[in-house]
Amino acid sequence: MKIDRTQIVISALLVAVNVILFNLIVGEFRGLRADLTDGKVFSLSPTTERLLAGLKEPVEITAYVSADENIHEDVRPLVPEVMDLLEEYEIKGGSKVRLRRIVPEEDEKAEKEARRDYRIRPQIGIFRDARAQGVQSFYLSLVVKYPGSDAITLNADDLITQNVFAQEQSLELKNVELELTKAIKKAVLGFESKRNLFRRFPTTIELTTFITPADQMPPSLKDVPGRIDELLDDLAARSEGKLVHVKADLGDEALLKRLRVPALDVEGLDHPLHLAMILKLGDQSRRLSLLDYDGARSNEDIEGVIMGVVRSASPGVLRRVGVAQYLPDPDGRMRMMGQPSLPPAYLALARTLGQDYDVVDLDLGQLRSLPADLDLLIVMEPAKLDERAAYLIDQYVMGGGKTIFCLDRSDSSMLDGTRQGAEARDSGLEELLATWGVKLQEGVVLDPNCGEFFDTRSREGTLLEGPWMSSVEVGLDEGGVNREVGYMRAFEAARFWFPGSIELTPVAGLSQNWLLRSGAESFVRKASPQLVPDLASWPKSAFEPARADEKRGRRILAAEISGVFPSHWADKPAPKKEKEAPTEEEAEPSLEIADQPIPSSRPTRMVVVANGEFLDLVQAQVESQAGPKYALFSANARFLVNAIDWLLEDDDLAAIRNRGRSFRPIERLEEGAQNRTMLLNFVLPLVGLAALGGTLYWRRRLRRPLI
Amino acid sequence: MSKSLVLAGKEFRSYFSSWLAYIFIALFVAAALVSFFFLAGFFADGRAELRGYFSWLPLTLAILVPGLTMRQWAKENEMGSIELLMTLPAHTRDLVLGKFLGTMGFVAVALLFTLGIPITVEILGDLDWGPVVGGYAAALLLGGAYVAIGLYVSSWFHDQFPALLVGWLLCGLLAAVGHETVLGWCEALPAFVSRTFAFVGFWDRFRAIERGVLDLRDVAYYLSVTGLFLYLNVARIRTKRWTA
Repeated sequence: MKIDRTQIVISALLVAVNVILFNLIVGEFRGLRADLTDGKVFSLSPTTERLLAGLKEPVEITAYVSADENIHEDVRPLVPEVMDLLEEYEIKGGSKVRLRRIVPEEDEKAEKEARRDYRIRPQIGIFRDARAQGVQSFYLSLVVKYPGSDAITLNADDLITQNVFAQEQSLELKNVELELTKAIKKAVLGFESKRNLFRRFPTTIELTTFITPADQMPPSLKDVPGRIDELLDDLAARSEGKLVHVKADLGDEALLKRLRVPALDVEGLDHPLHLAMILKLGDQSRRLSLLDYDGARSNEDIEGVIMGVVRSASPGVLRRVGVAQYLPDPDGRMRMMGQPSLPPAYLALARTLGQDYDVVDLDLGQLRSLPADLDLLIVMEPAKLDERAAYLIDQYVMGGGKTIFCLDRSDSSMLDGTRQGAEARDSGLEELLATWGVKLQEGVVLDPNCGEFFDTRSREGTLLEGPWMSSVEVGLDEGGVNREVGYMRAFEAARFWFPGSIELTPVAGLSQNWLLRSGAESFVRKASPQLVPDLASWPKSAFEPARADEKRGRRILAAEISGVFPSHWADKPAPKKEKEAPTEEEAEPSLEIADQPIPSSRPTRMVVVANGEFLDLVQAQVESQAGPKYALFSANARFLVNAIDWLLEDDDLAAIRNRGRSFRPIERLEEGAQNRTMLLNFVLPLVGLAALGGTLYWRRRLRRPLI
Repeated sequence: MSKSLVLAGKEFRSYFSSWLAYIFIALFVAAALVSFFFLAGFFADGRAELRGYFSWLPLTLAILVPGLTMRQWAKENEMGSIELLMTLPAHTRDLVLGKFLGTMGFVAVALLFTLGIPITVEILGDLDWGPVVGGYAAALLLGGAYVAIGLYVSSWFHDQFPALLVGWLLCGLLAAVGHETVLGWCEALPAFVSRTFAFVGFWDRFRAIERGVLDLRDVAYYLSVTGLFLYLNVARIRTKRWTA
């Protein structure tokens, strides 16, 4: 067949057009992909799929994301991964997930809505690189809405984090699936809890409305009293008698004044406008003004406002976590000598936990009672606790309470800048923990295989760098993290400062596992005021290397214990309670401590970390500012979150959190071994190439005719 | 197809009959090792992963592949042996496919010589082999697209050097336009420019496969680009044949 040149050109052009169309069509086939990673980290987990399948109403996910060109280049590569994941939600969720992407800069109305209703603001990022330093604002927020529930917003901070292990500043995605699934769960829980919310209240809730009658309302608000009455009557009916709706007499001016009921003077009205309610639960009362909410709002919105107040007063909707630490003296007095100095770090911890839990601050210095409804108790850096406080904790555990202890037998707090060492100190809980097979060893662990450390607390206020042995890093080699334990599988690494160590001894009825261990070359040194870094004598390690009597080997730095715990006071009388006037806090419902101790617990769980400063988030923040490679302390907070998942048996979220392993450390090699490894990598392919060339050459020679 | 395979075998062997092939592989492996150990700082990073190696691959391949393909048609044109090829009892597509598969075989061998990197990482840590398999699959897909482009470019020239230059230019452009830095430079331009660049560019799609996710859209894109340039190559040779 004769082929015309023009035909060839036209057919080539048609093929090119087809290729473009083909790719545009294939571009619509979302979700057809194979996730080759171990643990399928780029696919939705079965937990999320189950959650989506179980939704009764469709969940709406709105992504407020700037156009690619407006997002800084450090963040831009992360956006497609977020959008891919959202598409996975849409694909797996079917009709139960509605996904929208809004580019706020291109839609002024949507941008206003985002700012007003979801408090979304452009993210401001400061970026520094070799070329320049600058500030760029962009949108990267997700809003999760479930019918009848408050919208939940995830901002860039919730989705992106600094890669603490990278050499240079680099950003990486957090576990977005975890954050999003958590948000959907929260939204659904918000809806579900509405029906069950009133059951949680031990007493009746009295909701008194102070609302101007409809005939005295301005025209735009005439329907509001009726709507609110109807709504509250409906809520009261659903509350199974727990909610009582009372209409206040607006003529009783004394009452209005005493209760400080808000009123508004409106032009054209000869009386003040009332649109308020007071919610009374036991001794507590909360005031709520609807004046901020215009009449055009829907019943759902008004109900949302009311339920928000009810929910905030409701026990048990959020898990309650008690953080027991030494709180600042209210009158500003310095603590007595021997008590640790003020640790503001744990206030930051409370804020961090506050995103997911209802956090209760407890003062270790005055620990005389524990709230009755604590789901978890975290005891931070206790020092010389008295027997009564130990008894209180013991009986909390006996009641099935879950606990995390961060403690050791040395004081390495150096916030006063005059000391840099570790002095011996007891927490006061040593005997109690020994009952459960946890023996806190004396002395501090020093590890010659530690990384560089950055000390913010040097006397001169300068930054010191160096592989100090007092800075113990775990997880940077295999064997430091117990990855056999489910929730530790994906845990990366942690850093301790002058940690203590734990010896586990078996106790009937209890199961014990180590979680974190120091390096194989680590050793224990007795804590003393003389245990200070000595860079003049030991410039490389800051401390004297292991002496002959200091045995080297891994030391347990964190452990978990579960089962039925025996009481330390099982066969002895409870310590006597000091007679003190009840404080305001004690007026709240608190755990009754019986004079007759409970001898053993219900099955419960506990995590012990042999380091009081393990969760020093202030240190973490300072380190982060100094550079990502110093920010290992931040990773410690992730350990805490993992442990809380396990303790609170939130297996669903733990399953997502621990899918795959985001950080896989390599064995640490000395510089010489590194060079040898690199040399081998260069030489072996060359040898292989030479062997290939030689073989082919000889084969060709053998085939060559002899004559 | 069997004719293509025979031709591919001939092309593949012909690479190894010259020192150029060994120099090419040595340079390729050296570039991979330098990017992995020095540019990405494998030991300092301390992670058992190959991102440092794969992240530079679009650039490394864009530089080296046109070096392989430059001679394929240009040399035939220069030596006049293309006339001889036209007389062979083989379809034009067999000729093009033969050259493509022969070159791809050589690229695969070159990639094989970098297997020492994942093996080293596996020895030093617990490597997730999923992204490694994805990375090598992406490298082959990307290599295929580069080879197809390089062959097509080569068919237009009678001299290898301009074929190399234009090959570099085209492969480099397709690699670069999808890179986040280039997309950043497009901020001042209309939005559709950066969207088109992101769609057409190789880099972003390579990243997706390299992290261990084989998406039909990315695979289809690489294959269709490869197919398009192979078709254009066939069309070009057929035009020549018709002219002859």
